[in-house]
Amino acid sequence: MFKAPTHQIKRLVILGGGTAGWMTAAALSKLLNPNLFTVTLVESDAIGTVGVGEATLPHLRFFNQRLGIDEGEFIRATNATIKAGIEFSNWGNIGDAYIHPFGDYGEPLNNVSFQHYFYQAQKRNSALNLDDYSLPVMACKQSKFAFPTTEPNLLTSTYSYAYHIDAGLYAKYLRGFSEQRGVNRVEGKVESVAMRKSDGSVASLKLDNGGVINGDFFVDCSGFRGRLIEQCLHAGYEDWSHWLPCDRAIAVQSEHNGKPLPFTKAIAREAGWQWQIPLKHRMGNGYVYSSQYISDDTALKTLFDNLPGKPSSEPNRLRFTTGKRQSSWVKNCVAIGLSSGFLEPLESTSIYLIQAAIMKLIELLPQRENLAAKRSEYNRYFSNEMDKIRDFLILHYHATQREDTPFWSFCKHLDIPQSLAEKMQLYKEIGVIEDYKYGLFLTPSWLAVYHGQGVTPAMGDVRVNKATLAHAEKYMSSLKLNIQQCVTHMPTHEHIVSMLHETEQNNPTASQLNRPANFSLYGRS
Amino acid sequence: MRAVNKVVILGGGSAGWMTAAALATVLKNQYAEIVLIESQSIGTVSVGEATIPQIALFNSILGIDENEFVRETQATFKLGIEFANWKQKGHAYMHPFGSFGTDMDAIQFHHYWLKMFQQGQAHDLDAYSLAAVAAKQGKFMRPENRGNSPLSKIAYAFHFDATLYAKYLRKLAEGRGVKRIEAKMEDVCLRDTDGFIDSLVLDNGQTISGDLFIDCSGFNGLLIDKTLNTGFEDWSQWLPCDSAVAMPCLAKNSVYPYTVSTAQDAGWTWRIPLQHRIGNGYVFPSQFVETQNAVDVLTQQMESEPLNDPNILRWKTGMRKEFWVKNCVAIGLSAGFIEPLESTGLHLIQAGIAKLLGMFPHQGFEQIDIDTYNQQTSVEMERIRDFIILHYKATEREDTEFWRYCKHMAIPDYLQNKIDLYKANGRIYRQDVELFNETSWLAVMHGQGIMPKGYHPLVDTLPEAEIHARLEHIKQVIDNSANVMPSQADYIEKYCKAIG
Amino acid sequence: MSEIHINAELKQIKVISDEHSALGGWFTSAMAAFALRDTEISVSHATSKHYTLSHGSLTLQADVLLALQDLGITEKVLIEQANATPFLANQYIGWSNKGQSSLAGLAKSGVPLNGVGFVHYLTRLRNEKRDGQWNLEAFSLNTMCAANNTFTRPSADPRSILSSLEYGLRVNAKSLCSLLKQVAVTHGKVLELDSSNPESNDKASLSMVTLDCRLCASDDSSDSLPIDTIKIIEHTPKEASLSNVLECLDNGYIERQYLQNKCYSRRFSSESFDGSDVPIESESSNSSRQFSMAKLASDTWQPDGSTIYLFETGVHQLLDDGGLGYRTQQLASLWPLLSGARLSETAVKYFCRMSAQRYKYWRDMAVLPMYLCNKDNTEFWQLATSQLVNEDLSYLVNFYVDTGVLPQFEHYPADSGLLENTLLAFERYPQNADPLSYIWDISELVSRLDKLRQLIKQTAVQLPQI
Repeated sequence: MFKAPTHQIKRLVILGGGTAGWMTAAALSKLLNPNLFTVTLVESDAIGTVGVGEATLPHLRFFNQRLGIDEGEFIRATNATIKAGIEFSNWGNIGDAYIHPFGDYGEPLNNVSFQHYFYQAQKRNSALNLDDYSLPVMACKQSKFAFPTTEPNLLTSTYSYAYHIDAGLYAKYLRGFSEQRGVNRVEGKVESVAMRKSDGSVASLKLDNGGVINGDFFVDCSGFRGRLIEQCLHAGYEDWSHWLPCDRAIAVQSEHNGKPLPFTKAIAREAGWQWQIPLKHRMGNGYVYSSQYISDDTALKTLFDNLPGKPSSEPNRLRFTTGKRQSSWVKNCVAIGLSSGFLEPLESTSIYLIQAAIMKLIELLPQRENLAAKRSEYNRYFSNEMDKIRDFLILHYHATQREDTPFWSFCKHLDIPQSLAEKMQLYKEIGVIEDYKYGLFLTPSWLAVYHGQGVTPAMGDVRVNKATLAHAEKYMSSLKLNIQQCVTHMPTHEHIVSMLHETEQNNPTASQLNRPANFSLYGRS
Repeated sequence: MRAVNKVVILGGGSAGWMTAAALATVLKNQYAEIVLIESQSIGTVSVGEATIPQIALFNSILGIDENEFVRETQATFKLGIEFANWKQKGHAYMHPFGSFGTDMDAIQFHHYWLKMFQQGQAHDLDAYSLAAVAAKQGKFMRPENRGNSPLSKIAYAFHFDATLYAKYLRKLAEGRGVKRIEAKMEDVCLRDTDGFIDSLVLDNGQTISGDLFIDCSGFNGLLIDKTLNTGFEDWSQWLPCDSAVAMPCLAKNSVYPYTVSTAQDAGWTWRIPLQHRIGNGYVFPSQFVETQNAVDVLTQQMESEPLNDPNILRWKTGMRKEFWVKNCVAIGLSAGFIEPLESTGLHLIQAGIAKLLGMFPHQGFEQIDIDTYNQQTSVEMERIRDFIILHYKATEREDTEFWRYCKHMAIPDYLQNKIDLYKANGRIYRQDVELFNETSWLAVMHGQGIMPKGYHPLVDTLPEAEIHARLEHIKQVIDNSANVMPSQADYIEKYCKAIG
Repeated sequence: MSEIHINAELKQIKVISDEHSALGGWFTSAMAAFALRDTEISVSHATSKHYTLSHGSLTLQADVLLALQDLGITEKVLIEQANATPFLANQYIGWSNKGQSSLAGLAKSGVPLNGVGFVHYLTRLRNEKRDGQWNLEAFSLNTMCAANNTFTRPSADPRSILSSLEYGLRVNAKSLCSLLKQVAVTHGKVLELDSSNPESNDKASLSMVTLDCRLCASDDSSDSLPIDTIKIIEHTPKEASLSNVLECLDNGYIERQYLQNKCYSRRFSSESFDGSDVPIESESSNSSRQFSMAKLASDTWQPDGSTIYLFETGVHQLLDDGGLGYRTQQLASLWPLLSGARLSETAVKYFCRMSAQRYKYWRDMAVLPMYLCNKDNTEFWQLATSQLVNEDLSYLVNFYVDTGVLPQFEHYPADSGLLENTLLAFERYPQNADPLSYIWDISELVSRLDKLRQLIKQTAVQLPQI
């Protein structure tokens, strides 16, 4: 009776600006042939976007490179500093602290994972510290940083780095980038959405100023409410708050002491955790907490009591429900950003998920002939990405010995997902960590958290014995030395940051930037 | 804040162009943009149409010059419908416009006549209607102010070529700013916030948005039903005819100013005289009659060779459960269908338009208006339905399975009550705003052979001789008036002969 | 047997194989001996004195070759002692219409251009030009070399076209078996036991883990093929070839692997179906033997803490590498799980899950040619089509044909060149080209690809003949 559209997909419409919207617009406008596709972005200055100052993952470098964005220009435009890892304090026990680095600890020897040697060696010498075998951890501890090389045989290729950025400025930068490449920005708020009777797809957006935006394919970057993916297409939401109970955040900027650290801080608090994200001129602070356990006022007070400097903005309050959209691509609409789901920024994955979504979308560009096939595959892929990160975040909460507050008690006794329970059980028994091809956080990350939060395997690999251990110990001491020497020669992060933000001409860091990036969190793949 | 800036009419034909013309006329000064979407490839149903007097009101609102209208549509005049073979084979009666006789002393004429007729002292009913008498004589004129004479109260309607009517109205509508788009609708877009229709996607690549949508898309009800899932109330158990075959031919017999409906073994044929030819059709129940047989029956009935191949139509008798849903109003066949036995098709279109204009959603779509519209329209259609059912139910024929079915079928309570009331002592009342008045009910009930047991007792207050005299007088006046009237042919020749 | 504490030390690994699964047994023994060489754990192998392998030769790819290299069985050794020859491609003959031949190279064909898979450009040309000129084979150095019988070792320089070459090795199965036995024994650990007396070393049985590599005796016919017989024929071919040849028959198919001066053919068929084809081998064969193929049997054997089942099934027998690729994966994930006298329940569950997942992939690869074959003119092939209902392969093939992209399965290798080339050898070309491939107009695209085609052809032709 009603005919679904048959013309080829040409008009791409992005609903919403902010990081999600402008990253999408930038990528699409750069990579697609303008003869085949047009890109329109609809945003309203009236709807505030969430951007609360963000830490990122090394994958962002690959994204920028793919778009041809100069690294120096990007850093200066976003007031960025370098991020080499995240320091977690008070997670295992109050008073402890560990760094989750963008790099591995040591190296496998004879196909046996490094940590087995370490733990056996530590039995003989309790002074041994796992940190000594990670170049990025040692560098972070001394606030040092140097850009890694791509030369695979060097120690200095065994780690990676990302950034702390002002996400609002990144969006602004990408807006300029996109508009230069033909993205049509339309100002307005959506009043209603026209849906096709034939196939239930989205046909056009009606704006409050009377504008009508027609499109063939839509990207929903409208934030938590999912204006298209949920309000029109009813994708459904899988609520994960029983595993990750935090549901609010307060964010505020403050001054810092001028010496930004090359890592994000994640400080566990009474009913959640506080972040500190150092940008060039200021610190981004926030407290992610569960409203079930503390009041908004208490949270505000805790945050303000723990600022590194004077607050320099009004506090920004957010509410969220942790979870994922049951399908983030429905009919002719894909949700990118907060509309696809939410995981707290404990491991800086928000921008990563946006990027992963965009790159998958480009790999599976919707065409009339194979829309359905690409859609299923996309959903399968993105769902897996969310699930894998979710499990890793739950690990942080569950692998605790704390019971000093009802919140931490809850976390300690949490009924965790089966997938995570099996992994933790396996590690606790014999120190085996499962690697997988798709999804974030591989062996080095799991090791960092397990070790940092006091989870050690009961037994080790049988191949670690007197003979092999002796050999390993030799390796370990030379590695430790090499790392120390490396770090000594590194400049301070403070110095790097100030160099990076000098003017473009003859910038001394120029030769170290724009080195080919890859998809590994840990340096050489 | 105006709610309606743009009206989109889906479908041409009579419904579409009547709506377009009326809206363009009444919504003055470009109040709203009006767009009509039709496709040549979709044939329209209009197969030659008869009407009822109310159409004159419609034409006058549009400021139509009646003579021009008659010329442009090859129209002839209609004074009533002759029903042949409905009561019995060989019997015929007229359902005329206007009234029978005159009421006397506040009692309806027909009670006096009934008393005399039951005693064998009066002529049959037709004699007391100028329309009936003149029609049979082939006479016609428009009413002239002649005091008390029945000539002042001549009520008439038209037969015309509906395709030409639509064409005529199209010219008028386009002249008043209506935009026509030649295209077929492929898809509909609905608003997510309230389920209102947002726009129509056409096969020419255009998407037409609007605030108010009029569904004139015919039986399919593309908007009201296929899009908004309104649902249909089926009346086929009372009116089993669901098909028609239609063919035009040239006139052999003189052109009389009335429609002829001839009952067949199953169903009925129509003969609608136009200036240039005769419209013929056979309305039949597909349960009882094969299509090829229907074509044969019709061909036999026709007075001369068919000019075209037969046009076959099929429908479901009944009405939409609602006619106005959200921002969509169904007008014409999309609102429902009752066979054209009493020429009500165009009237329903006109009535729908009038109600819509009366409740036009100027500042918003109010549910109370929508509910009222729906309630009034459904009542109107139900009453018409009942009137049509009367023709079938009140038959004396039992010569075929079809007529046996009709004679013995269960009927709606409203109709049963009306029949029972008349049968008891001849009472007829027009209820609310029902379309057919006492004249019509009387004509058909009597025509179909229903004889009341009694009559209004107050009639007895007048002496029989007096009544008899008055009746004779009325008849005389009518006969005289008929004599004075010119023949329809002459009348048309003088005032409104079609060109070419 | 009394319960032994899981924390007790592991003393022994015992591998069991039988007459038909000696290869798996010796491979496992050798890998175990090597992995545990620095420990006090002994490895014993209970096997039958006389064995017949289900392969005359094996085609080994990078993962297995790397593992063998670790064992000291280098490419040089294989060439000298196992008649090894390089392997570049599979050649499929007669799988759609009789006589039609197509090549599926080992390495991914073409070169990525602008971050978009090569096959999309090819698809564009096939759809727009429709002149039959655009087949994948011409754009693969592997297949061009195979077609011209030329070979050289690939270059490490990513700028050279020679870096796009990938090769495997075909080796004599029996010789490999001996080499593996040597490795196992050389590491001073492996005791060869008579399998007729498998419990002969019970003293250590309390802290022992058994790796059971015998032929699977399961009668599970839920996953079946109409093949029940394998015939191995050893003969001297007229020519050498860098490809394995797979030829379709009316009631099965033949796989031929070419070693130095020898060719091993394996004929997969069923007695229940007529086979009118009489391949050349039967005329001048040197030796042949025939045996029943084991069931495919899905990998659901539940190990307990002290016995791991590494059965040989029909899948191992179908695969041209004898299932060594699969075994390599299994064993790599097994050693870290050995933490005590027996595996814990968690470890067992984990191993099972990983194994079963991988097995699905290997099973898919084993039946891939038969799955892709769309012949239906014989009872055999009709039956094969109806029996080979496979969810993963069906999703994969449909998705690839729809989009030109392989879906990302965790248990499949990422972006497999051989898999893609095989799909294309069986005419499963994508129907739609990725919009990103429209970056150049058609004439520019034709010119670029023509240049590439020429470069590949010239390079292939100029390399040394084998």
